[in-house]
Amino acid sequence: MSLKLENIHKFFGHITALKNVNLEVNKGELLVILGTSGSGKSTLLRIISGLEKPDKGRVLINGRDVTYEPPYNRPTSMVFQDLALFPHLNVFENIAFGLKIRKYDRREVEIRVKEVAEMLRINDLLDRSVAKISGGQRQRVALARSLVLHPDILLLDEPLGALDMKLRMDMWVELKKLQRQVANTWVFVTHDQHEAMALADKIAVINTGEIQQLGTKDEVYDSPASLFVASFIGEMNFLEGRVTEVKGDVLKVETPVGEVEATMQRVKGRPETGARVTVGIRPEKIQITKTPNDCINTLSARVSEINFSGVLTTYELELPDGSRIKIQTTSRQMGYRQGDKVYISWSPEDVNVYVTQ
Amino acid sequence: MLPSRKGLLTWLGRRRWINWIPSTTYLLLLFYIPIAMLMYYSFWRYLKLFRFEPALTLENYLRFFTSPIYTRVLLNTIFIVGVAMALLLIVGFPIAYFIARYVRSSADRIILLMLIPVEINYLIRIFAWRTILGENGILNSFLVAVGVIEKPLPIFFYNWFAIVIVTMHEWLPYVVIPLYISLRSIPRSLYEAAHDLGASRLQTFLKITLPLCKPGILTAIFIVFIPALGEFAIPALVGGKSGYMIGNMIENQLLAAGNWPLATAASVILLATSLIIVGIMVKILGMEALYR
Repeated sequence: MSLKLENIHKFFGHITALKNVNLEVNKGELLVILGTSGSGKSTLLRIISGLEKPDKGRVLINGRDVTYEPPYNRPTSMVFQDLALFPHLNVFENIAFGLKIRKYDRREVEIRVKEVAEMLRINDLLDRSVAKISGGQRQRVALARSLVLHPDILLLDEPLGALDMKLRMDMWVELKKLQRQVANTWVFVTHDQHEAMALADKIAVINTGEIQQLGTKDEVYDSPASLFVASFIGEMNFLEGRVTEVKGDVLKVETPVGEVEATMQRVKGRPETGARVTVGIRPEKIQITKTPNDCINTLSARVSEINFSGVLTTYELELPDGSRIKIQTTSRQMGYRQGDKVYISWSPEDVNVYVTQ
Repeated sequence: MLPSRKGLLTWLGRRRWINWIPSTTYLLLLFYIPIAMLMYYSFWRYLKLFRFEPALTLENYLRFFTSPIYTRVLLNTIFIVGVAMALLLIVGFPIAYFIARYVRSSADRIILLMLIPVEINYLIRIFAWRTILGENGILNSFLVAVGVIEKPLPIFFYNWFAIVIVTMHEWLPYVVIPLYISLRSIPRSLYEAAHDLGASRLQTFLKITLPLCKPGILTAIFIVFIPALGEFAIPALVGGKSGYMIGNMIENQLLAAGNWPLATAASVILLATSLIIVGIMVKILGMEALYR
């Protein structure tokens, strides 16, 4: 186990920033901590780095308890949100900072800086001022400054925030490659679900100081553990309802637009008959047809909006009770027009059910 | 026919050089011409008390540099102001650092409080030090009371160190403010990054805080060093024998000895000295490193 957090609590005055956080990351894994601003995700990262001390709990790195070790005694290195490049030092001196502090001799410093600069393709910027390079290049310098120390764990605090969308997407691919190449553990904090999906081996979704779900990308996407995770990652259609029957592997829910069936493995909690629940279905899991098919979970609807945006076409449909539902498909020519009456259906395995007290 | 307002504005707008006239005239009349006159006087010939004739001679400069007294006074001046400046930075830095890092929200009020003594008349402030450092002052009374000394000693006042203390009191806010501004502009994340990369507190201070504070240090030196070099009221009032500074010498030559050519030559030398010292400071602190 490369990194292990045990029962981490952190309070700022009366505010609980982190509540009973438990986390395990294996060596060589890339964990993304995903949460909105104020969710405690940066505080968590700062606790791992040692810039902040937890009020309760333990931080273990490679099995060693480092909870009360200062940042400079930990095998971690952090890439800051504002990058925190030293403005009075040039690119080379910035990257070499940690090595020089560790009193490496000049030759060794030069070799290691050149090596990491080559890896990040900034080797011809080494004598430039950090003020006179582009945002993307500054990014690389910050990464190089940390990677040159060969940290066991690299911590990244929304480092791509300042870049435009196109550049960010390029960086995702490159970071992922880089992480495989250096093969150490990375913990990446972001509020952007697309970034999380693009980078992560594992995702930890955090909200109001609590880990909502820790799992692989597929687990988090296909089977979100809570309503918050379901609405935070990807798009999800929600229907409110009441449980009418629990029988073996099948759960039936009565909603204002009709009966919905779900398989038990997707049901969170143990709802009993009569319990209020929310049903969630991903837009791409819904089929749309002109005539009703024999499947369970079939509803009638009317097309109210069609939006083609490149790869995906999004249909917005109006259900009989006036609520709306979203459907996404990659096929473009389905021949529907606004106002058409259609039938929609989905498989019980794609239905997530959450108990809403 | 009078031109319309709009017409006049376009006419002026096309002639940008007109904008330069007021400021240039002001500087020319009140700054460059007086300095040129000062320099010109320094080449005149001294005849006797308040009598001199126009000439182009270097004898005033020669007299200044060949006299052991005048050069010693100049070096003494640089020494006293240098000590004061160094102590000011040493005292001012922790104050500025504290304000910048720990009292951010009410920093403006603290700076304002620091500026209040500056509003008190300059001479009164100097005299006030006599009640502290003088023979019957607080310091002596205290030392006698606690039994460290038997009777008041005249050693705390009328010497060069009294000048250092009074000068420091005079200029402290002007050192703290630029240092504070420099320190405030250093993002917290830079300190954290340095710690994260392995630097201890001392290493962070030496490698991050101090270098990034150079503009503030340099500004403080600009503000304090130059006027303090030409100071004559403080040494006259508290300096005594060991605190005779070049400002006193110029004043003396100008008003008592009536040797204006020598006084102006000394002024020009003082001006040159200030420029050289500032030049050296810029060289050492490397102002340009921050703007490359």
